[in-house]
Amino acid sequence: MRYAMAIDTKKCVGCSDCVVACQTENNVPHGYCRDWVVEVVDGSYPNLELEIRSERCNHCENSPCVRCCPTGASHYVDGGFVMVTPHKCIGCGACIESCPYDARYSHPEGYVDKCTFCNHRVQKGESTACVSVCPTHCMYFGDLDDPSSEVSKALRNRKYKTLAPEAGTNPQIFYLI
Amino acid sequence: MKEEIFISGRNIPYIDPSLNIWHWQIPVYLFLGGLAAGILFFAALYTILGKEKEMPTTVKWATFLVPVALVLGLVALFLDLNHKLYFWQLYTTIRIESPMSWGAWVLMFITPLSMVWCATYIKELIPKWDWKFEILNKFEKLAIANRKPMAWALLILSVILGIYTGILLSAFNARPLWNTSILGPLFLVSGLSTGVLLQLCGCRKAILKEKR
Repeated sequence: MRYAMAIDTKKCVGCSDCVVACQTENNVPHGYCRDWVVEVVDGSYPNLELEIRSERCNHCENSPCVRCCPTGASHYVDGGFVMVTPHKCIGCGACIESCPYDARYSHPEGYVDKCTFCNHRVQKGESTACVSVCPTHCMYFGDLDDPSSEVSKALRNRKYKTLAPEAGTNPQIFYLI
Repeated sequence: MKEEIFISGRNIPYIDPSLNIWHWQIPVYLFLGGLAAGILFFAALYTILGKEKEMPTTVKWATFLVPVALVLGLVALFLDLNHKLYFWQLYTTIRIESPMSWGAWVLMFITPLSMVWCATYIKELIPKWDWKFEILNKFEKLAIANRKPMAWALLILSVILGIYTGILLSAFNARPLWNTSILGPLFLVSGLSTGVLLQLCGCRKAILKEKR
């Protein structure tokens, strides 16, 4: 089992439904978010290219955050999820400093919080909150080891990229380009 | 360079300011920890080389600053934690991968050890010093008899104390300018030089006398 997400940058319209769905599903405190939308403009006028993508924790295979954590609060869970145990977290901030994606933040209660790939939903066989609400169906979630999963199919048929590959983190979120 | 514009999420007020997670406490600790490591390293080194008599400032007097520096540094570190009451979780595990975990354990040993080190010299600093309790007198004798083994422990622990902060920062993939193997040795060397400088300040008079 290796859960991953593929996000189609050609279909995303940047509506932020994923952001709101995540905040509601995961009871994210007011003023914070676990996922966000980025708009990238590339090229020189008048040949401009626009890319819209929904970003979140990349659940890296080689996570600097898990490596830096002095207490083991940041850890891997079966299926490749990177999770945080709040009662083990001391709030030292090493993981926030080490994340190339700025995917972590300090929860107002003190511990560090971030996207969980909706682990609680996935265990029940459901998809993540952000994927299930996307009005353009631009996100695919599933098991990379299963060739018939939506994410495997999407990655077979399309070109894709990952974010900050130079950081060597081996992220599990793929952007279809 | 690609220009990226965040249109949502990042407009949420607490995220970006809170990504700036480390504050003045960390540089304060980095300085005090490096200073303590430097002083202890040379105090231990010259004890092992048997030069306590020739170099009293290095071996004895300068080390009295170490417990003060370490305690202030630890207070600073504690103030920077966001989930303060859970700090003891550091001592429920040893994580080889995490330099902060080594640091926590090294501080756990080196802080009391530096206090014991000073305690063995306190009667030379304050001749009227009285331990009040017989058990403390016995402990002092035991510690004085074991200065050499203590010096070896301090030598090793002080090197780890001096280098771990640099390795900690260099382990952050997100910061390209920190993510370099030179940072650990750099922190160690700057800690050692700060320690030496303080010890030199302490023996200024002796140096001036020698010059004349």
